[in-house]
Amino acid sequence: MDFHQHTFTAMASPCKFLLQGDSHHIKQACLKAQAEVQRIEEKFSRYRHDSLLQTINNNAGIKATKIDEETAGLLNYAQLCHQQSDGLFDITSGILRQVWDFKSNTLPTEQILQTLLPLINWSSVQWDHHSIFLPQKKMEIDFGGFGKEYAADRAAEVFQSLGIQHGLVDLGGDIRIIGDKTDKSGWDIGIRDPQRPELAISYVTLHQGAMATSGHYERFMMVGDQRYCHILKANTGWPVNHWASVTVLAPQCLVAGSLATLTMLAEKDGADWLQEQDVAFLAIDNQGAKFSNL
Amino acid sequence: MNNIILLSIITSCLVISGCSTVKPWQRGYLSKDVMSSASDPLGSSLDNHIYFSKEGSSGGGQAAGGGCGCN
Amino acid sequence: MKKLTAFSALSAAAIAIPCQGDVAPTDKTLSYRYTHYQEADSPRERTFTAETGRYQIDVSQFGYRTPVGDSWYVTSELQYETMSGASPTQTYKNADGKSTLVMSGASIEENRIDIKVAPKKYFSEGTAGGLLAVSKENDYQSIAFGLDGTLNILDKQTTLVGSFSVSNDELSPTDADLSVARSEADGRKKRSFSLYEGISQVIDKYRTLQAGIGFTQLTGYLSDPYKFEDRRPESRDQITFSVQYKQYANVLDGAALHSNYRYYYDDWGIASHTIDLKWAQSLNLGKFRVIASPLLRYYSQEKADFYSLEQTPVAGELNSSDYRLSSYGAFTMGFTSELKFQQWALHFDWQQYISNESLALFGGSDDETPGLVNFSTVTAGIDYKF
Repeated sequence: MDFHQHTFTAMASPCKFLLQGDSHHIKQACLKAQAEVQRIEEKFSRYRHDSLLQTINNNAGIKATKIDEETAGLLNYAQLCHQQSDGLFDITSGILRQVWDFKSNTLPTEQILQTLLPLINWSSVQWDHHSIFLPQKKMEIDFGGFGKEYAADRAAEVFQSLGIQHGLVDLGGDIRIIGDKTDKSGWDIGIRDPQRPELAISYVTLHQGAMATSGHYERFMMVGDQRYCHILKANTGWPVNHWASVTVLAPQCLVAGSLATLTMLAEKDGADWLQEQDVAFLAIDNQGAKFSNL
Repeated sequence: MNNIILLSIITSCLVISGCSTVKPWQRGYLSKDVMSSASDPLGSSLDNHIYFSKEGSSGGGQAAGGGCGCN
Repeated sequence: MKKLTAFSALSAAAIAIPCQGDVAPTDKTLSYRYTHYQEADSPRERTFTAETGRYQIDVSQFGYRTPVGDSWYVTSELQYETMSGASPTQTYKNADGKSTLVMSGASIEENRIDIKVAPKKYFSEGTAGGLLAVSKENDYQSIAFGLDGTLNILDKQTTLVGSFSVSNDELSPTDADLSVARSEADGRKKRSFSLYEGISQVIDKYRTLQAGIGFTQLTGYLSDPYKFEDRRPESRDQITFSVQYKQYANVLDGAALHSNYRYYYDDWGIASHTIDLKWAQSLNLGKFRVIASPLLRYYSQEKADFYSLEQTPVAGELNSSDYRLSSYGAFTMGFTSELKFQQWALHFDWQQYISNESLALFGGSDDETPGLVNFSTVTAGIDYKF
């Protein structure tokens, strides 16, 4: 059966739906799934001043903001990630972006980092499933750590609910399978080589589930010989520095992405931790050594 | 009338007593289609209509539909 | 015990993220159902005339559900029935103490058309809806109007449910000059007023319970003009108590037990118990998904005060030999099934209903009730979502 491809840009990434089936029906379904991705982007955008996320952040130190169940569910998820990573993953750490400019090729000073660290404190956030209150002015949260993966899952669910059974959702490299190919041969997915991200270092064949990668090549700068990547530790404000990339396979893209990010954050200890999780993975360290059970 | 009072007591106890709090994001199972009472509105509408016309008692549902002169 | 890994904890939390709050469904659905309803013949040895064939009804239902704007959802239904056959006009006890059933003579053929429209608005704290229903037959017409609402309280653990409806029916019996009862009924009204209050409670991740009280008052011409010696009160107050319990079960690809109990009584002396159970089982079969649901129902009622099998009861006094006002019990068994494929769903349902005076739980008597009906229904249908 023919393949249908639908591409668009969302969440600052190239997005792709690849599907098999009746073409007229697929077109309609693609628009609905794209609308779902855009809904999530708009709701949790850092850049739109009218987004729910911006409202929460603007109310920091002033008042609580009412939230809906979806947001509460995501906050609950973020809280678990915070717990599982012993605080290294923290959705209040986005404020570090203000001083980490990866286009500038200059490092922030330790002094300025120290002024921001007190604002990174998920444990101090008061929230329940009706509302959230960030207790200090200038504090902020963002869902950049898992929003794209979450959107991939939701888009795949839109397709599934519309009866589409063969296809995949690819949001900037975060993959969620809607269903196996019609001939059940599986979808061949390339895993980027962290040294040369335009090339694949390995391929996996996915029949179901999801795959997500966290890599030091996504946004970084070189200062001297040292690479500084965009994955920042909430306790120090400095980038992680052990893994070049971590790829995880899991039933849900959201979970695959978080396991990959948490492994990056755990640095050296991530190897043992990831092995405990009973998932398929491929981790490549800064020296290019592969660590995998694929 | 006693029955009404008893039922009110039972239902208010239900509310107050410690039904474990189920957060909205823990309701995945409750929202599955097999749990829905309204998954086939046409089917339940016809069932209600048949029992309404063939039995001596009716009601108890939430919205009464149109009557009929069925016999 | 296996250690709870981050993977399993995160997976559980991820699955549980609800899409959005209380939002209106976004799919449009077109549905069609065809049902054949067939009553078994009445017992020849208890039937006065040679005519023993009872009703058969062919029912076509068309459904259309659509969102309107962001927060409204409208459900509509058109039902068309063609009935033919005969129905009991009287049951009396003969000199030997045996019940004798008198059937309406010639086989009649009638149509009924029924239209319902129900808009519903979704709020973050609940819903508010309305209902307009019109039903028309050549000898009866009905118009009904209702309002209903739900309100989520106590962190959405609890939902209050309420509804209210009124109906106004008018009788116009065929061949009104054939009997005094028919001519008296011609142009008479039957009105109803109903209230329902309920409370729905989430017990835990797997279980919900709903309990409710309903009250209905009927006034006007409540007798049956086609039956002999049928004189009923001009008002009827009905009360119901109902409980619904639902439990999710992790069996195969997911299942749920639905159980309902209803207690009913009215000021005609009728009291009834209804219990029904349904097991909804989901199965993934490659490209298809099937929901198969076997069901079982038991119903038992006690007779109305004025039910009697006197052939010639005292003139002017309340009287009816309608089998629906007698003491009896009934079983329904059956199943519903749904096969889902892409945007399509095929339905196939079957039910068998048997009723008998000996199945009564309470208030049974030695009198036979040959008018009690046994019927079966077979339904085939299709849904298209877009």
